[in-house]
Amino acid sequence: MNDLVEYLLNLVHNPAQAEEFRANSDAKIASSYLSDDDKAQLAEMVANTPAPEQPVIQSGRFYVGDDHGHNVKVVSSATQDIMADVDPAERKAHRVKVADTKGEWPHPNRMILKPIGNSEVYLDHILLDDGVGRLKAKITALTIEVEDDQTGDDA
Amino acid sequence: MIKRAMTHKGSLVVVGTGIQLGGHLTLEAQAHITHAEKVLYVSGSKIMGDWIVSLNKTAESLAHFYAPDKPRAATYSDMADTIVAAVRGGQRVCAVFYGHPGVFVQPSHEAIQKARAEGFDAKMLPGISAEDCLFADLGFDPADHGCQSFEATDFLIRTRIFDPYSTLIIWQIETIGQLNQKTEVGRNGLHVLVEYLQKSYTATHPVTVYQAAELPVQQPFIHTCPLAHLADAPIPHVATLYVPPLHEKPLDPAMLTKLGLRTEKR
Repeated sequence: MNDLVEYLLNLVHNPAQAEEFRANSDAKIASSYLSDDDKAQLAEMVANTPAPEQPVIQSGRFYVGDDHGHNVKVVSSATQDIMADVDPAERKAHRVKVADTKGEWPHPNRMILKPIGNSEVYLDHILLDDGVGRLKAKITALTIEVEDDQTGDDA
Repeated sequence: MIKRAMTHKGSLVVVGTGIQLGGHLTLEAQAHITHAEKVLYVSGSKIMGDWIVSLNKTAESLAHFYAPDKPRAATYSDMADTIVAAVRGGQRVCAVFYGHPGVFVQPSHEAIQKARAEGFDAKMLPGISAEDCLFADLGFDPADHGCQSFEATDFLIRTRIFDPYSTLIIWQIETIGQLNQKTEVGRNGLHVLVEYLQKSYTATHPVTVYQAAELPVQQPFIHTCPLAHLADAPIPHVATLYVPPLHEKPLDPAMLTKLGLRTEKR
């Protein structure tokens, strides 16, 4: 068995280590026992994982609420900075806190989102309205979760 | 003492690797790979192939039958013929396919049918399919609203009738209308799919493009967008579309009564 296969199978047998790898792949690859060729291959495998942060929404203000009568809560994120024109390659590393959760996209009063389990829904290229009709900034990602047993439109 | 010549009759077992390297292979499937006299495989990646070879040194890839602009049907037929030829040669053959060996794998079924028709023992073992991963990663139960599953091109060219109040899963949306081996996503096919689905769903109905993680170092690909934006969405090389139901379908009072689940009003 070659070293790279063995390395990957070890991760299969150690879920915690696999999780740690996925969270910090660059450092884990660098510190591994693998040869330079294998390290390069492994880095390529990680890089080829399609990143979910791709443009979804063209423009518009947004409202938080799903289409099943639940409230949807915007979970705060790592940074409060709203980034304008961030290089797509850099977006993956950021989460943006959203303070104002009302708006419209694409329906006049609702952003129809269906959260699936607790998975993250990434909303790239939301263009915020500053209240006087000017596009202000881009949001790179939101994390949403369903609040059960609550019905209403306000987030 | 009568001395009989030993005749070794070939046999075939078809197994699946599951989607993720190593973690999805059943113990039974691994035993068949390890103990086979000849292993023929189609893997999802080179690393998966390396692993199969590490389990059995006789392992030989069938991927060379793929060729640009060669009809997929011809490729699959060549694969099945190669598998059956090894069985005819008197070997205990194990054919290994990516995912579940009986789900979206034509040569596995074809090889079993041909081998059986010629009097050889042939069977298939179940494996973990992309759909199994989808249920886990997207977190829904197909029993909740029912679940319909179609191959994308077949879904369109036969204008399949489906129930939008039930979950809809559409496979291979990256190759709609492409009968040959292609490497690029067919965006035109996606536009046609969106147009067809918009007869049953609104443009804002959320849909999810999905691909299971193939390696323990990867995350599954999950991209949710409005149906109207699907044709411009990022599409991985093996993409499945999850379309959630519109909403809960109303109960049928007459059927409830027939089943004794509700008493008729007097």
